[in-house]
Amino acid sequence: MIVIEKKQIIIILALAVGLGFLRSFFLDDEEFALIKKERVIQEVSSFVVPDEMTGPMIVNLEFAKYHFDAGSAIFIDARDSEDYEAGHIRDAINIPYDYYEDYEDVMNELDDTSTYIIYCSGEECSLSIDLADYLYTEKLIDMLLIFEGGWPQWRHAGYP
Amino acid sequence: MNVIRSLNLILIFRVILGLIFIYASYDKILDPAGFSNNIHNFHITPIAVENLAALIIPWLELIIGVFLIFGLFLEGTTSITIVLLVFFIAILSQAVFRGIDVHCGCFKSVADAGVTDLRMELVKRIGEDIIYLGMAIIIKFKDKITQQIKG
Repeated sequence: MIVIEKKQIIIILALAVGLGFLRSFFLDDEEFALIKKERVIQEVSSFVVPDEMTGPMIVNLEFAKYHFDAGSAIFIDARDSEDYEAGHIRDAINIPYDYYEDYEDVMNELDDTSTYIIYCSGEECSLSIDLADYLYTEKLIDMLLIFEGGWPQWRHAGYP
Repeated sequence: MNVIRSLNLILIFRVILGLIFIYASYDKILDPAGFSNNIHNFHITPIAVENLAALIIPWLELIIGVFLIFGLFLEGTTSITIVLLVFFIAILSQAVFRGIDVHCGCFKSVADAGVTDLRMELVKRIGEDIIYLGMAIIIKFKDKITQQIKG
């Protein structure tokens, strides 16, 4: 009985693995690899936004605060509206990545000459990266920076 | 016991579980990249295996869903069903206890707004999975359960 069960389990698992691999051949997504690699995003090393950016870049708390004080960047909060309402960087625009279809009007108003700093709930949060990728590829906005520390780091620093 | 037998409770459980697994697999089969991101947000697997898991798990769900409904390879199918459900309950539970926002994959403090609803949603899903697990255990050990009730 146990031998039969083991055989059945092996057959079912083999079938699932086979179909999974077969599915991978019919995927349109060129970036989807069987073995996923950790994405490395370049970091801005000074307080100056690079002239030519080949994709969204990472910035730290000091950079974000510098441009917040100078008023030289627009902050975008990629978290849900509930989280945004509970607390956000002053004057930040809310574009929740999970519901970005509902925010087409807001995104269409973003102009491609401004610098945008996108944040969410900290380093474990991927919403800011996802939104930055979407704005970069779909809305053709170049000056996109990701503040990885996000709202927790900003709040912890006691910034407005 | 006669009532259970006449209603063919085991068949009903198999069909319910089968339909749930087939339904659960559908979106994931269509969008493995999206499912891979969901897996990533739970912080339980190495990044390297996330895409592999996103490709294989949905097919496993579909196969056991179909096999449960048609009664194929029932011993093996129910064992995998039980293991899968225990696995799902474990990863959802760790997300609740660690306070992970599975929408964004980030850890949040209890005080943050929205987390209570999210936690309730996860707790609800854990509750559902426990019910499904109960069904799967009854299917798996129906003979032993019947004997115990008789004995």
